[in-house]
Amino acid sequence: MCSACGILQGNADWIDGVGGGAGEAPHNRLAERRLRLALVNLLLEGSGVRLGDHGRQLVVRSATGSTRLVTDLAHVWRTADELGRRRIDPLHGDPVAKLPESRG
Amino acid sequence: MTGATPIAVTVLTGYLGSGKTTLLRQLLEQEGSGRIAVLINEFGEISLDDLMVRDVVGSNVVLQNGCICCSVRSELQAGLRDLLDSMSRGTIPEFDRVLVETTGLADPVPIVQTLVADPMLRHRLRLAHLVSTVDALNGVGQLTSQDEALRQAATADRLVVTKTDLADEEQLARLLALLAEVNPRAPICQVPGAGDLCSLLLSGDVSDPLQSGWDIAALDRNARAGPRAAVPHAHADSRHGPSIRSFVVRSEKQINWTPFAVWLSLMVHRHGRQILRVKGLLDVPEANGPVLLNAVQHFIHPPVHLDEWPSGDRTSRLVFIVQDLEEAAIRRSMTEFLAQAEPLMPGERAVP
Repeated sequence: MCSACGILQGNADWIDGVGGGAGEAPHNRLAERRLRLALVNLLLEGSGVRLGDHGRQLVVRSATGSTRLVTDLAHVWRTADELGRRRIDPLHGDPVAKLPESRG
Repeated sequence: MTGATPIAVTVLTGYLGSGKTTLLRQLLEQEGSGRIAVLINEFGEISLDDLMVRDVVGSNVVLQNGCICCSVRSELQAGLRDLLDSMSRGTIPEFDRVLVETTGLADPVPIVQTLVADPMLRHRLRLAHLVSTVDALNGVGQLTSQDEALRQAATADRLVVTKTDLADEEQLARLLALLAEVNPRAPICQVPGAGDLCSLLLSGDVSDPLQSGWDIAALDRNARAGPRAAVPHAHADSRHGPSIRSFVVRSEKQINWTPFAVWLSLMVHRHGRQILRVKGLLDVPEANGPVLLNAVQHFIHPPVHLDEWPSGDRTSRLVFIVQDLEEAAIRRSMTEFLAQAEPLMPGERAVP
């Protein structure tokens, strides 16, 4: 499965191939969704954007107020590239240096 | 339509003149090759390769407009759709495998992406293997001077060394040693003399746990062998720096799947072109047995659950084959992110 299909919203996907998939109980799916949000925001630290929940939608918000609906993980990273102050790179800088204050 | 099971797609790559079409003909002529439809991507107005195989199979669609890795992805998409539609209409015989022969200069990954980007193709086709041919006579020179040849060999699931009857022992030994550096996890067969090409090249499936023993054995051999040095590359100084290297990341601790997957998705988003392969076994708390992970650049196969570990070694091990990326930076990034994600993990979840 292409990384472009790194679904956050419950569609069949490679990331759902181990736990957290559609076969999970609803409370587990909700916990998994919150976990993924928290993990994404951990990686987005310092980029100037955050991923948030808006009802059933996922939204990337920039520090200047721009918002975009996103559908999957790769969409999150692409949108963060467009709206963020800098491109996050897990191999450079310190994008995973701090724990977020909120866990989801 | 042959039912719900997606049709296997084998992608055949290999540098210019490395014997792809000869291998293709041998495969098609071999008894037991099954019903194969062939798509050929060829430069130029006159497709000699097409003429060579047209009498072997009747359902070829030739991609005429040059390199498959850029301009003709839509044409590949259309070609695959046309094949499937023609079979559904009964205008061509039914087939149970598609073999895509690429140009000698193609990067195979966009072909893979074409398969998954199209919703119709995604449901009717599945990637079975990337097979790459390497010429025994010229392979060392091509791998050390041509980026395309190096990337084709590094991304392959199966390697075929061709023209071994024309090379001397020293040439062959040098090439095999180089291939072991470039892609230590891929099984290698040599032609002529490989015997049953169909079972060597078309059997099994990268997503089939029952057939993955071969790859896991290669993976384990490599994991025991430790890190590999970078392959010298003619362009290294001027263009690319350290070029291709492989290494193994091992973890005695269980790896939480979701943090790992989120990290990997960002890694392949940012560095997918340089992450040629990631393959390995993961011990995750969310599953009873090991999980087989297999990624080719931006493309990540659905993880495969195995019932049991292939050996007594139950540590997670991931083989990375990367180009122009620092091994230490990848290790550090993965380790640090997994450690920082630990406090976010909910309490232990029952294994289904």
